[in-house]
Amino acid sequence: MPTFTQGIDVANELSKELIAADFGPFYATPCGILSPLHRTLDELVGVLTVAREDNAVGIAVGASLTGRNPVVLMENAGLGLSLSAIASLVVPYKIPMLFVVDVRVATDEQPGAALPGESVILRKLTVPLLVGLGVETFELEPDTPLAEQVNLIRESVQDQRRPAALLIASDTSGLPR
Amino acid sequence: MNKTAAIQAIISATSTAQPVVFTTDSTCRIAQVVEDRPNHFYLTASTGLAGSLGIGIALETRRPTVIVDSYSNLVRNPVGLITAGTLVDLPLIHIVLDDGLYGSGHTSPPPSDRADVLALARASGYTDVSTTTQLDKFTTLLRGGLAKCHSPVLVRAVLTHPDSPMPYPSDSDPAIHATRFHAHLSILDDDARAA
Repeated sequence: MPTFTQGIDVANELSKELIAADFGPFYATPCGILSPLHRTLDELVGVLTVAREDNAVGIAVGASLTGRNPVVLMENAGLGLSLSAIASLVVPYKIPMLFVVDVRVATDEQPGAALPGESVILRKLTVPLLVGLGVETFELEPDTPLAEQVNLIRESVQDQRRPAALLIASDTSGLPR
Repeated sequence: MNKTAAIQAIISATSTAQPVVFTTDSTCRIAQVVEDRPNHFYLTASTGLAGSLGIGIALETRRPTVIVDSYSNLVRNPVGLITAGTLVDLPLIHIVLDDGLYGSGHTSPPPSDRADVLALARASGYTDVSTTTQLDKFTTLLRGGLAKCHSPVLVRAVLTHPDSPMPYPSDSDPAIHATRFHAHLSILDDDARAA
């Protein structure tokens, strides 16, 4: 997986930090940007790949009810597909879980050039959608240690028993678009 | 057999050691009225996700987990079925209550009423698939499935008779309901460790 400017392997480090913070099990729908994270987590602890994001959310809710701290990896288009599941299940039942969501953005070198139209729309909608749902949202910051960021997310999900989302932008993670 | 009789049979055949997920609308309302137990999880919305929820519970607890689904909800989102079929050692009993109607309280037939959920389950990897219109056979299939539940099985109950009107259970806070269910699973987990 490409790196932050500090030269760290984001997929590897984020995977380790999430696992160390007692997150899991992990579920994912296919997503090119998150595939390095998906692959690394699968190698370390296993990932169940689910064909649709709302079904992955449903499975994660089941896991959460057993006392686990599940994580669903999805592209932000899948967040729209999961809207009903989050609004009617995760939020009213107060299910603690973590969404890891990619946000496709253009690079400085090619602003907007490689982004299909739906990515532009979905990028605008992602944060307002999560805020509207009441899901606490974190954005992966290149300049902040991953352990520190994961600890904040852990506090939200595991201590405060809330759903939360970690947004990974394709440019800040240096991931392929 | 009507839906109420099928749900009574399910509740009679299961113990509180077995998580049971009831799909939305009349299915969970009837279950609450027949007998409300702490091992029951009632979906108030999230059409089509009962199966997925059951998968998550069964994967983590490894306990025989019962999904009480409806035909119309299942055909609206069969991905849970497809996912469960790939998990060959998942202790899951997927019951499909098929009244040939779309949703609760409606009289129009479902738009996918020719979809063969039995064939879909088989193709997805369910090891045992059966269907019946008879309550006694349904009970036998259910008890048999629970007795040797080591992989996903599907039982379709064809509902041929209407239900009598049932009172609506009192509204409860979904978050409190989830907490009760989680607490019950924790007790089962503690008991299993102690044993």
